[in-house]
Amino acid sequence: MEEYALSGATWFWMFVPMPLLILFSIVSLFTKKGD
Amino acid sequence: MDFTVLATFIVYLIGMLVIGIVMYYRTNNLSDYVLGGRSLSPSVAALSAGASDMSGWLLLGLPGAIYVSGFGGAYGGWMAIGLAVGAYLNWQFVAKRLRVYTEVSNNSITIPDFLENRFKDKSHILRVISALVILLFFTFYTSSGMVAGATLFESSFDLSYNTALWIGAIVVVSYTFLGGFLAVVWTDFFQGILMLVALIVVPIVALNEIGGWDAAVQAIGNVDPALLDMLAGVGTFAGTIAIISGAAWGLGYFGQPHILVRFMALRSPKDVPKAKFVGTTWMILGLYGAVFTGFIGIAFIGTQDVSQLGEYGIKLVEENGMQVLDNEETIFIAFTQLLFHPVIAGILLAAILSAIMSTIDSQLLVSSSAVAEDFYKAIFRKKATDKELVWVGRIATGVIALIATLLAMNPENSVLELVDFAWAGFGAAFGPTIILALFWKRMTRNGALAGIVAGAVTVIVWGGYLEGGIFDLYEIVPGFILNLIVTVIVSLLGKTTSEMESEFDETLAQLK
Repeated sequence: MEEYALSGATWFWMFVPMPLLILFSIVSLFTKKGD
Repeated sequence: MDFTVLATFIVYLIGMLVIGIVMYYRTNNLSDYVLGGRSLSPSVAALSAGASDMSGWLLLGLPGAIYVSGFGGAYGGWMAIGLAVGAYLNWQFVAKRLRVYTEVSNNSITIPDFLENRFKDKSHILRVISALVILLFFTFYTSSGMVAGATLFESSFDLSYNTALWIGAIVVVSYTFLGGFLAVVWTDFFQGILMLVALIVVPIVALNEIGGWDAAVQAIGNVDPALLDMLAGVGTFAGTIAIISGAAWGLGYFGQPHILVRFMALRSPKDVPKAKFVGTTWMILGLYGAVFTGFIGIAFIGTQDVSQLGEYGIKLVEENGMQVLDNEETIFIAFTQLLFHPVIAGILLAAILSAIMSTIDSQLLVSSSAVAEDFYKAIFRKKATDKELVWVGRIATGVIALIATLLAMNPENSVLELVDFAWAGFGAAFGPTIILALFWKRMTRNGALAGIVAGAVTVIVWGGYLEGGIFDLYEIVPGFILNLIVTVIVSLLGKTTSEMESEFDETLAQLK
């Protein structure tokens, strides 16, 4: 029986950009705290 | 009808009404009624922006789109990414500047108010045109939400469609009518939490039931390996158009009045980073929950015994030798009925209602503010008292809701299709206008006016009358681009005033 998996592109697009946005928002939480 | 589920629903609806009554006593003037007196904490503003943005689409539409085509359908996956990026950029670039600028610019409390004050438009034409765009699109947008809410009530409790419609309309209008903006944002806050919990719990429980991630991927691969590949459509014209259209939904954020007013209502511009973190995290977790609800649904419905769904009024049909949901948008409802105790199922179904109501209430409020502030006060009664304006706003809420409900009485009404239109319409008419108004000192009143009209007309013509080939591209893309070009050209042909420029400079100074 054939083994299936998510394609590499799907892994990348689903699990890199969106978590990165959360990371960016955490970074700006600290860097702009003194505004 | 399951009375445990119904009882849970009733407790939820009473809770929303109580919030409306409490906030009634905290609403003293029009600024309180439409903007909460700029008093929102970052968490409340962020969850309220998210909840009023997302509507029933997050729990019904997006899981449904993924259920039909997995990651292979460009629409669902790329749309989620586009929306996440658009929402983030809105918080990053628009939120703080809009909060500061609207206060500097004669303490503007609505988007049309801001545009008039930003461009010192004494003719009121900019205010009136933008208020008309708001009223037109939101009446249909609100109506489509009421259709969705009534359909949910109808399918969950076996009520007649019209009874369901009027019950939903009366509750949402009551708390919006009474408590105004404060009631809306606080109900949004609780509704946002409920939506997020539901979207996290449902796919996890479903995944556990089916035997884990690998089992789900194998079952979906057996249906069609293309469902596992987000780039499945790349290389073909139609596939590329679909991917761009999905991702382009993110452009809509910069022009949605019901989201932008949350930025204006923050208690301080310094709260933006915290609100951005809460808002971005809420949204991305919610999008993941919705995407995986649909994705796991493909495996679940295809491999498990789900015959009892018929008892809840959810139809199954045979397709390529496999059972599938007749209406793909019922996948979230199917999971709640199949996997949870009636009390939990009632709470999870209330989450769908939350999503629908939190959008309707915000849209009603923005529409009523357009009537009270942008028509009644600006044109008819410049010296209207605060109390009078609050009551005009309340009456407008009732009248607009009545029109929307009457439009929704035909469940086959094409208003549902207008959600796409309304999102694109606001995104294209106001998106570039707001961005340029905040960042480009050289922009003029005529530039803004021409841009708004160009954006709105492009969306209506492209989306309503043209189809096939390039015209299958989501209308927000040409509308947004055309607005940008027209605004820049017309602005460069005219002149700004020193008052406009000094206000722009003062905003920059306050942002430092």
